[in-house]
Amino acid sequence: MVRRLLYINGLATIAAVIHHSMHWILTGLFWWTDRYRSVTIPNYDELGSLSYYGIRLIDQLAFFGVPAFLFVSGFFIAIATGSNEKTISWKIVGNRIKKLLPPYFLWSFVIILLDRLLGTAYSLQAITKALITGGVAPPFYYVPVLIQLLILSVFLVPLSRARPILILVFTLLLQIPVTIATYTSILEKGAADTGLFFSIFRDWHLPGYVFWFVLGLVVKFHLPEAQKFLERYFRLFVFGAILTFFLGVVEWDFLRVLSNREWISPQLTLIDKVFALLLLLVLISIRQPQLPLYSQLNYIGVRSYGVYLTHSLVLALVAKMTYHLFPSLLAFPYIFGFLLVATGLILPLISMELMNRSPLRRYYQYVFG
Amino acid sequence: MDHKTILMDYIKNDIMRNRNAKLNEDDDLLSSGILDSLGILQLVAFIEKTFSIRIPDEDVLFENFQSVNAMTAYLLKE
Repeated sequence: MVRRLLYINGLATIAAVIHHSMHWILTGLFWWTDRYRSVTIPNYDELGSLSYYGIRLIDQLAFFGVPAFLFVSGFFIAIATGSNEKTISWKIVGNRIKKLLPPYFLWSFVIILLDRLLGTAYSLQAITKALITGGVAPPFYYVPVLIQLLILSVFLVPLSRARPILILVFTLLLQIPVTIATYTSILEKGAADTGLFFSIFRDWHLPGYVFWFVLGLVVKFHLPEAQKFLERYFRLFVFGAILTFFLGVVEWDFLRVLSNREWISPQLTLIDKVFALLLLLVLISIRQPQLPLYSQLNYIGVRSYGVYLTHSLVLALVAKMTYHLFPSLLAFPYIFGFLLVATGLILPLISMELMNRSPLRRYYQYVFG
Repeated sequence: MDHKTILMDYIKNDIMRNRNAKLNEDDDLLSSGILDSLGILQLVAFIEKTFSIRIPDEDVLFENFQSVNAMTAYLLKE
């Protein structure tokens, strides 16, 4: 299982790039339609078309990115704890956080600076809030969540070791308020109706993501039992993953109709979470020694943090350049999508490779982690 | 080259990205932050490929990866 984690990290990186590309593909399809057809915007003619469902299916597959990253992080904390230690040392936690922060701040400031150059100015208070919450770019929420989990790991480690079922059930139960908050938000009941309690669960990502980190801890601490469990229910996981994959797409359209809105951006619903869990379990259960594109995905997996922090910037630049220079391309969502995913993945990897081969490589960890 | 030198070279060059970095055989790679989650996974893949061995999942432990000396001892035992 251990040697497959880099591979899974590589898959999760691609999933994250695909997921964030979807925002631009759908923008091109619905909000930039007037760039290639004489229509008023937003234009939802493509809703329900073959292209639309194709895109939604690909996006559905990409939902497991962040859960997989957190699973790998939890697994690492379990390795780093040591067999005879009660919990992870603060020194390891502190050093891990110290390594995560410089690239996070660097790329956050780059994005803030570019926004400023493009005319969007933020107050110091807004910048501080965005840095603390990961609000500078859509994918950045992951970094504050991971830091909170690393700090919490001092308490999560002994629990995961001594009471694995209890901690898994508890973190699963946390999904109830998170799920209520998500569905209420989707169905546009609004924060006022939802109440402060559910608003916290909706806006604070930690309760919704702690399960994945704990799962990584529990699987590593109880490896023989976990492997037996995974082997026993492998077929069920495969069947469930396929079922929830399609159910997630159907559910989204159902929620869209129920909300009485023409369009709502896809969010992680309960079915998506079940799908992400089952897919993750399938991936860690596979016994096949050589998986397709093994070395390529391992290569991406090692560079996941750098790609994760930089891809949204590349996607925004490529999407805006396409809008201004090649608007007709927006009419072809698969070609536009391929362009986004390829550049969102390849440009960060090339930049990382160039820096790694340059005299500046000793500063690499401050830029790409 | 012996196991220790190969591991030291790999950690300095591919993980710390600094050939001239100061690294002692007994330095705690995990507590000092040299090895993170991806670093450990990278190292497992490197050891398996370079020394043609298979590290069982249950052997990927803090104690076996804590330092270059710990890794060398594990490799010699295997």
